[in-house]
Amino acid sequence: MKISINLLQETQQIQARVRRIGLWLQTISTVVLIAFGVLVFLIISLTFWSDRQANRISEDIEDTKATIEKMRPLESKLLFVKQKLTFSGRVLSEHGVRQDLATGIYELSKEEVTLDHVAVAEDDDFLVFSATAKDIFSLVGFLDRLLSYAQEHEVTRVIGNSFSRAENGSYQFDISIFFIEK
Amino acid sequence: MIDIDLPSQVTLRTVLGMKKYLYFPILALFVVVGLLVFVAVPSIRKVVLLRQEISQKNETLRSLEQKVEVLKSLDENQLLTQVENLERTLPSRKDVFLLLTSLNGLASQTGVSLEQFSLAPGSLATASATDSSTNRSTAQDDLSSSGREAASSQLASLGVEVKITGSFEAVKGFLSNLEQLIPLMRLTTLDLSPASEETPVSLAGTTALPVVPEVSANFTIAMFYASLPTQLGTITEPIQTLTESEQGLYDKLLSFISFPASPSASVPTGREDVFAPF
Repeated sequence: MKISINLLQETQQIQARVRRIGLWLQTISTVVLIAFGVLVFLIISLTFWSDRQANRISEDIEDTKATIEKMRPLESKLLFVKQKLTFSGRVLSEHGVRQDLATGIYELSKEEVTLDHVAVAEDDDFLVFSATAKDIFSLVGFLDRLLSYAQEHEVTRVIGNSFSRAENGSYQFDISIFFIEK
Repeated sequence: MIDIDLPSQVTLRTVLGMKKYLYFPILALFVVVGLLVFVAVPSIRKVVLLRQEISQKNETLRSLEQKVEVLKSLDENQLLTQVENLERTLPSRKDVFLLLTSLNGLASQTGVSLEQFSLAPGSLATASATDSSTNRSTAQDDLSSSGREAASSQLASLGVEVKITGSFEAVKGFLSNLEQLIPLMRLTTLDLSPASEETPVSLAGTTALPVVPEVSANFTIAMFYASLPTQLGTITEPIQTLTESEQGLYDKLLSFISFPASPSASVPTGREDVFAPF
């Protein structure tokens, strides 16, 4: 048995479909090409625009720098003032020796007790003094006053370094006073 | 058996004729890929870099404009006065003359006699002189917000030994005012003892009413000075006007005891640029 198929009709349909697809592809390609062209144009434009903007800002920076340069003496004075104030603040934040304690101890002495020497140094947390008391009563009176003073003036310890009695009945003594550093 | 009879119109050429529709899409594809690789991607990269650069430059410009505003807000005369006052408060060099004037002035004011005064200042003017100071320390850690080239300058001190005599109250007054004196100084050692018989009996400046001194004080003081910085910070570095605490400190320093130096004392002020080399 012989079967005969005529594809002429299908051929025409295929050709029409191929043409449609071909036209569709060309249309899409054209659209994509145009769209991409526009995109590239925009990107290039943005590049140029950004470049110009960067140049303009650079010029503004240079102009502002020139303005600052003219005001440089003023700036240097301000920095000078700030620097001096920083250093001054640092100097004032630290205290020197406790001269208040030294003079305070000196004030404790009366006629019967003579302070021979009061010394205090910056890095020490104590002061030392030597004194001479007329007699034992003067000595005891002075020590009483000293202990009362110590309680009132941030003194942490009072140490008697030496006590010696002279032939005339007077007493010579050395005392160290430890205090809290300011 | 199936026998297919192809029509005479459907030939190989007919089928191959379809490719004419593909030329343009393929060409377009090549163009797109080419543009993408050689134009779009480099341009996008460049744009990204430019935007970053613009952003940074904008930041710099803003900072500079802010600096200009700060500088414009400064009162030059007031600043000059502050420079002069602070130069006296914390001299830029070992100003022995200023120190002597101040100690002498305080001695006169409190009524003590300035008996001995000794120091070894070394060279007084050159930068190397300031390096030979008795005590120095860097100030890098102290300059925080305003930390700039000024930090290259250093705080140093000059040790001075002084002996005074006078009544106890006078000596006490002298000592208690010492750390409130211009230029800034600090008492580092103190030795109090009764004055010897041989000590002079006249008070400084009041020779008409002699009194017998009761107390003698030997002490050392550290007179502070800070050398000028040799260079300014970069032009783009931001600056600030005086903060409230700095202004408060300045006002406090103004209340310190100051004795005017004679006009012959050279104070490096009034220069156009205080940081310019000598």
